[in-house]
Amino acid sequence: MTRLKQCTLAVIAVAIVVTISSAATTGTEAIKQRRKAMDGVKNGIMTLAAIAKKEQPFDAEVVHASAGQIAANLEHAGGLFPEGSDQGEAQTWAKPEIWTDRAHFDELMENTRQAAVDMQAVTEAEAFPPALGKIGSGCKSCHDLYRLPKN
Amino acid sequence: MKPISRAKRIAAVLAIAAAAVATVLIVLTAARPSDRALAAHDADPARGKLLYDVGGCISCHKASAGAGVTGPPTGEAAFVTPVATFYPGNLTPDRETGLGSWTAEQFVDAMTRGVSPDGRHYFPAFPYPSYGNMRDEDLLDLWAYLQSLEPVKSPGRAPDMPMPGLARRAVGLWKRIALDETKFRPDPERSEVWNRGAYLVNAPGHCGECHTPRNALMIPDQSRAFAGGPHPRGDKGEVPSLLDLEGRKRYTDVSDLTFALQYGETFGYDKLSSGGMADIQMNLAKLPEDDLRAISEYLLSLE
Repeated sequence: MTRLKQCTLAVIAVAIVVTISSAATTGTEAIKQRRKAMDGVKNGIMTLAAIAKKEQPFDAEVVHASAGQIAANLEHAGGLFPEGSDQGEAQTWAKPEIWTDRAHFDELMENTRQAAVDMQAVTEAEAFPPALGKIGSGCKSCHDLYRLPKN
Repeated sequence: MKPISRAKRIAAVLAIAAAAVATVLIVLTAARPSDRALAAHDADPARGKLLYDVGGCISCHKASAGAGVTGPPTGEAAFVTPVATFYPGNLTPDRETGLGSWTAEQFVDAMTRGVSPDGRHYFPAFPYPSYGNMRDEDLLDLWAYLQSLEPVKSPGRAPDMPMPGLARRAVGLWKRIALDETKFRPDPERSEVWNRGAYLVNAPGHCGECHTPRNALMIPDQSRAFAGGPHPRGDKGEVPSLLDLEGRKRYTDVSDLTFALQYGETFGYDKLSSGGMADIQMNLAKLPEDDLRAISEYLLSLE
């Protein structure tokens, strides 16, 4: 084997190793970050749910801030499902269908973000329950199709 | 006369044995309509609607995978499992393609014994092992509700699977082992509310069809009732356990779980929407709060 050939093979080998390991980190990193973003969504929802359950009084400012937190985290999360992040070293419940029905997944994510944006404009207690219902069905529509059940 | 050769004699014996085994199998696996008479009952379609929602009939019998849980149960949506794809069928009272020409007795037979009016076994993707626990009057109320729907023409489709006829015979054999003919019995030690919850969960609600793990013969393992396990539709991920929901900090009390069943994700209960639970929760949301509280009380008592 010539020296040139040896070098070429070595370069290819290194390239493969680098690609594989970076793919793994991309997956792991994306999973970690999107789980964090979804936790942010959940925190916003829990604040709104406390109002819906009448554990907390209706407060337009709190509603605006929580809905903003939901919208921002959903926008962020939308970009955290790159190709190849269906698995990694962190646990994920993302179903492979996300990457085969990508357009639909993105559409549901966007509808839910829009529902959160609409909630930001809610200033009256009467408009609050239906607006929350829309965010809830948004979460549900996506989780139903694209998230695995967990114990 | 030439003596019959040994080989021929063996062949004859084997043929007779095979015919006997086949006869026994055909008899054992046959689907026979029941001749049980139903007691007279003044059926109430409104109560039937409640049972329709508890059972979540629409979740499987919807028109298409994307259809909501409020449309007519025309049953074209595919029900995909690892062994076959089923098309659940039309529950509207259309005379040719739905249940319009059925009798109440045939409906009860289908629901409780998994036998069709034309004498075939239904595949247990249709959860008749659970519906078998339903009281006759409830089945008749449900029947009255289904008969009150607008008839829709929808011819239905045979399941996508190899040799469905033979598979139906195998179901006949499976039913002999798997079907428990004893009906749900209330526990006199427990409250009326608890018993109401237990009945709704175990009979029309058929929660155990997914939440109770199955053994190698695909029979629910009642020693591990509601312990969760692999998803019966072959989905990855796990069906959650319903045991010790309080101890495992899933729900704090009856009110908490009632909120979860009523509002699901809207109130931040995000576990109620994967693996098919989204539709189920939306069906349950239509129930009176008392029934949801009864279901919650029963579920939280499971240890």
